[in-house]
Amino acid sequence: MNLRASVKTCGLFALTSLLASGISWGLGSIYTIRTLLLEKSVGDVDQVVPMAGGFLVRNTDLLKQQRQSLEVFDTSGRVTRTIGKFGRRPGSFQALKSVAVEGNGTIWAADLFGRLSFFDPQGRLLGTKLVQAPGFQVDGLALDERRGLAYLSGCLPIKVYVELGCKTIHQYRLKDRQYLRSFHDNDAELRERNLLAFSDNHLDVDARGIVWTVDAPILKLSRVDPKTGAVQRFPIRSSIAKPIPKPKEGADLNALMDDSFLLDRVLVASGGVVVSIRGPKGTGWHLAVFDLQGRQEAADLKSPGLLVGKTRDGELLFSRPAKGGYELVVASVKPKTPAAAKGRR
Amino acid sequence: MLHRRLVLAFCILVIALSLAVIAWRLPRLLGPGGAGARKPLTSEVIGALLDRPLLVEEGRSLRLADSPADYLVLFLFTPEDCAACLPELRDLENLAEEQSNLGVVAVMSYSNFDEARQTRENFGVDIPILQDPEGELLTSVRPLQTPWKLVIRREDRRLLFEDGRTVTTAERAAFIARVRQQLSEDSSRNGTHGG
Repeated sequence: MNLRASVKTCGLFALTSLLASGISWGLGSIYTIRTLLLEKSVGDVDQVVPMAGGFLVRNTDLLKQQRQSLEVFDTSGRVTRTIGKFGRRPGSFQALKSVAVEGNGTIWAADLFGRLSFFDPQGRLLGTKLVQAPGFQVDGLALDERRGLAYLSGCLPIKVYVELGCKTIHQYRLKDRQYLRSFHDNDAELRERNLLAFSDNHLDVDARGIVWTVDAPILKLSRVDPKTGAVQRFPIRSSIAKPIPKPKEGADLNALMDDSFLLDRVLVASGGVVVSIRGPKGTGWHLAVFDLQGRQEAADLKSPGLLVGKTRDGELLFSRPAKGGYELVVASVKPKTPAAAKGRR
Repeated sequence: MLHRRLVLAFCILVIALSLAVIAWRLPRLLGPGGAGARKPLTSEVIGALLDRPLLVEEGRSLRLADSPADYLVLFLFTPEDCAACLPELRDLENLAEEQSNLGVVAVMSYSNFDEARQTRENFGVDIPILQDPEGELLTSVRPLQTPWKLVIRREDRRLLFEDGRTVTTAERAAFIARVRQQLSEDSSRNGTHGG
């Protein structure tokens, strides 16, 4: 074979491989397993956590503060009770940011302003914990019951001022809710590009105790091993999502936030790590999927709605407005066998 | 003619006076001290604050007016106040030990006894933390921010000065120095003796 023919064959092969890998990389899709109508006429569905006999639904509208609520829905989608209310006293919420439910049914509700409220499944206040030492604004909450740990996310300044850097993951003992330590420095890009105003740290924990975290304006996924403190940062590749531009002086930050792509949730589910990317106003959400080693498996998957949580089986939960309330979509990024899918219905 | 000039002069005077009043009042109406904003903390307001029963523990309350200290630093805060409270409370605790005629009382609004206990444990301070569960005291003071500090002479129910949150070491030191200086000046003026 002459040289020209070899180069031609090699080039053709490379082009085909490139095309195939590109197509397969973007090929993943979301498989809807079932849907459920939540009879909800007021407010939104921002987070859903399965609990005995139904779902706990968090509704947080930070602009319409009075609208914050925790509602318990039964498995047929009807509200059975509400928990807490807007207010400043213990058992109330000012800026309800994240919720989690322990295996024993204890509900954890994290307020941005540094108060954790604990409720029993009936909604009775069991107690509160003030996030004071150290004190920070709480963004996210995840429980690792297997290891008896709880994690909060939020910017804890390393040297007084947030501009000088933050630790973003904070570990607590589940049993007595004692603070243990903080780790994971926030991304330098946040400060360099003046994006601190957009920072919102989300996190989840996988079965091996690894913490996965994202910060809203940074298109990266961090894998943090709490045992060793090792941090790996993986870029989130997308042909749709564009990094938020560096704000100019005097820029309208709210408008910029509305017009930008922001990461709004990370969940360990469907055997991997799923990151939800909110597009500019009204354009919906896309998902990026990683394996548990941090390799990106899929990008730009069109999300059926807002990613709001996961089931105990690791299926994803999405919410979207529907006639008569909200539709809760139970879905997976991995195809189910027809038998398995049938069995779940 | 004269009559017309007098009327004109009167009108000009009225307009000038009105403009002067507007110029004087407008910044107050629109600014931070504007309508609906903070009223000065007069002796009446401070008196009401000192006479208000504050919860010490379940079923037990006290009035700040009954405090034995000549001067009081009231540290007003809420559960969501940041970790900046910690060094401030420690500074105030040290100051109270140094100045025998000074009492430091923290008042925690929108909270309960358990949260007060947590705060004492979290911050490792021994300052009494009284409860203002419905935030009534905070509403009467209307601080521009929290934490907020009031330095009060108890006897005549007078506010010596007030200050907002201090963050840096230098800001904290400046506040403590100001309290010391104010107490010293006030004591020598009134014949009371400090620490």
